[in-house]
Amino acid sequence: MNPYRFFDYASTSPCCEQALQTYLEVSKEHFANPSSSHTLGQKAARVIREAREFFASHFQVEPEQVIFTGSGTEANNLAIFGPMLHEVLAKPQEKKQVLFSSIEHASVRNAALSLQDYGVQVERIQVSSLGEITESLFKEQLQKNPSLVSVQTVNQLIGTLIPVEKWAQLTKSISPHTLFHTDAIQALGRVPLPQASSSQIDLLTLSAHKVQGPKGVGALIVLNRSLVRNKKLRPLLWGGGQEKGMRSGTQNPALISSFYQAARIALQNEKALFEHVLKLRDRFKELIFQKGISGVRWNSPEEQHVPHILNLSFLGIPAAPLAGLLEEKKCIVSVGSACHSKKPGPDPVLAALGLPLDVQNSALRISFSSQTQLSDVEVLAEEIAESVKRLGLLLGRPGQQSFKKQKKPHSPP
Amino acid sequence: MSIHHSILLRYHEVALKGGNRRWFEDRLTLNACKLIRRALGRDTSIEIKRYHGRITLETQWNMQTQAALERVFGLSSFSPMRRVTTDKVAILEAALSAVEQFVHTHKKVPTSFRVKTRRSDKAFSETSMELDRFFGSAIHDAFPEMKVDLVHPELHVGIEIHFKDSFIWTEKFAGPGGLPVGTNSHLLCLMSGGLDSPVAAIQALRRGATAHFIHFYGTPFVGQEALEKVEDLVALVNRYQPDPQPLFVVPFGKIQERIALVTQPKVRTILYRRMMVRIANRLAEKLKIQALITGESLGQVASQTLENLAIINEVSSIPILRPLITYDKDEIIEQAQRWGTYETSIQPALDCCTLFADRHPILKASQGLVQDQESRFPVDEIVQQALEETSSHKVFEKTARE
Repeated sequence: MNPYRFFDYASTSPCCEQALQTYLEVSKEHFANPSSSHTLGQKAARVIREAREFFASHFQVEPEQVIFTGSGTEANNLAIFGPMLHEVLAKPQEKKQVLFSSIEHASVRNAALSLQDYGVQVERIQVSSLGEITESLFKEQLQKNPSLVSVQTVNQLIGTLIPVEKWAQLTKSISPHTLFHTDAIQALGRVPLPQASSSQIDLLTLSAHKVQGPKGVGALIVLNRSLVRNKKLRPLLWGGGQEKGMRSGTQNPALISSFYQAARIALQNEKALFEHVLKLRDRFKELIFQKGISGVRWNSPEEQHVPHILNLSFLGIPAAPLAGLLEEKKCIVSVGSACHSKKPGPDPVLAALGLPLDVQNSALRISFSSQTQLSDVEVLAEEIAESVKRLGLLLGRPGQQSFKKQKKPHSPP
Repeated sequence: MSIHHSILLRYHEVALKGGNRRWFEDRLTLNACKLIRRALGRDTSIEIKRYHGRITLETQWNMQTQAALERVFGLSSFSPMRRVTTDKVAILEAALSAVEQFVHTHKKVPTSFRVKTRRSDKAFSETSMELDRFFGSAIHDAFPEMKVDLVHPELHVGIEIHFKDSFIWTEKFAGPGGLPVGTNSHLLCLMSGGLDSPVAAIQALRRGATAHFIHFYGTPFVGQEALEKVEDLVALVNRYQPDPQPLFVVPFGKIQERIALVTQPKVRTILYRRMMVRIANRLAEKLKIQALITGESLGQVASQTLENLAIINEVSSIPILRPLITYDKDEIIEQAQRWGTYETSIQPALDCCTLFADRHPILKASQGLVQDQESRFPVDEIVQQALEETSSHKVFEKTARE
């Protein structure tokens, strides 16, 4: 039995029972290559078709507009490179531009930045310290008619809920030919997602393992059908032409089907989960206030926020040792973003939010799921209060002394 | 007559060691074989031959062999070479084939060459100079486009004549110098994860010492990555010793916390170090090690004043060697680059030394102050507990993959 209380669901989640069962069953039953024409292959293909139809009907698109990928990162890369490399090749003479919000996940940020190597001009959309886009600045940037705009639906570090539909409409009203992509990986199963019939969004990214599905599978939903019809997306992977040529490589029916089950359950329980984690969040905040810890700074917004992700700093208390102490008490929280927890130092997204350095260094991300119980949150609040007190005592008064980051790369024993 | 492809090992300092010479040579040979086998595989066959002032190894020659020998302390230089029976015709044949191979690898005939003969045995009646001329003119006949250039030749044909065998080589690689590891005492290196300690450790290895490692791990206040970085550095240092040594890890964060709770922030760094030295002393005693070694350098950080170093020395019953004491940062960086530890050392990782300590530590700690501060926590009990919690981490696997 896992002895830890896990508060890092924004980084990943364990597979739910149904997803796991589906994975095992499909792996055993439908091991055949879904591209094979024999019965067994066709049965495997049918499993994938069912999953595809589920996503298609949810987003009100044709099945061909659902592209399964090997990860959320891959889906984000396809959303960025797919249309942009097509553009670069189709109109090599024209200057092209891509906009992305400065707090995007690394898979959007780095994919977009790498387009510079193809002569594409890449610009960031600046956000407030709460992750909000400023309309006037964004409008100005849209005047240049960028080819692609990428704005996430939910921020992975502070949980800001960004009104992407509004920004997509604004984008199209100023620059009708600009494509709008949203990374909805943190949003699936948390908040309602756009449907093709009523949305101006062209591309949307999903990942399975954030909704208690398996790791190793994601999807790009092409809400704008003309992109698929007119072959405006260039594949990243070439080969046997699976996924209608958009993503070659033998599909894994088990992963895809397991993703389908996890997403289905997550969408079913979306409202209940929201209410559940809202209670958890409010209770947690209440407890932290009750403990009377000084120097608490809530980095997440009050409004326009998903309660699943909560970010806060205890000023003067560096996050890494605090997380270390909490871990000793069997509470797992996240420092910066888990994807690069191995790298000490704040996440670039925290810097992009314009947070002061000591706020960045002390930023702790706590994220909840349906498995989190009220009692877990109570233990966490208690342990945080204890640990902050303990570290505060060792470090001198909170806020006065900042933890020495690795400025000089050495210090002899 | 057959030509044997072999490797010629040269050493100078070793040769000076009078009565111990045989022992030094044995150690050097053993170390070279161990490092070659670690690079090429445990079952690599190596045939060893000993000559006056020379050792030859008959084994595979490739980039890995070269890299391994570049890490064998005690070697001044080495050459892949051809070994033949001491006979003028055989030597000439080997010399010509060596030149051919040189032409083949460099894809062109060199513009100039010279022959340099060294005789440790006067098997031939001619002087070295006369032999140079003999072999030189024969090579010139075979490759008339090469001119003789005694000062800056593009190709240097080296010939060494021994009693039974002679060696012919055209390439010479610098060894790392120093003395073979294992010819001196055992040392316990205090590894911090920074730039300095691995350099200090390698310099000690270069003087023939065997290095053992200890790290004071700031858990739970610093993460696993800090420990992994130290393990990586130990693996890099271990590449230079024939027998890789484990890393002893002392969980130290809790100890720092205990100390910090009752002491003044400005003395904490010194108090931590005194505890580290005490714990290291006890471990050294257990391992029968005669000295500690650190990467400290005078005045590099505020706590490294002579007064503070003296206060730290006080708690050690064995010498603390500080080979970098007079180095400045640039020199340490240069050394780290030379020994290949730089890239790993500069990886970011949190460091426990400054944990809970004042940014402006005391420059001249007095004995009275330190004793007063230490009376506030149970020194012996903490040392004892630390030793009980110390674990040994094997890091050889990484080394073997090099």
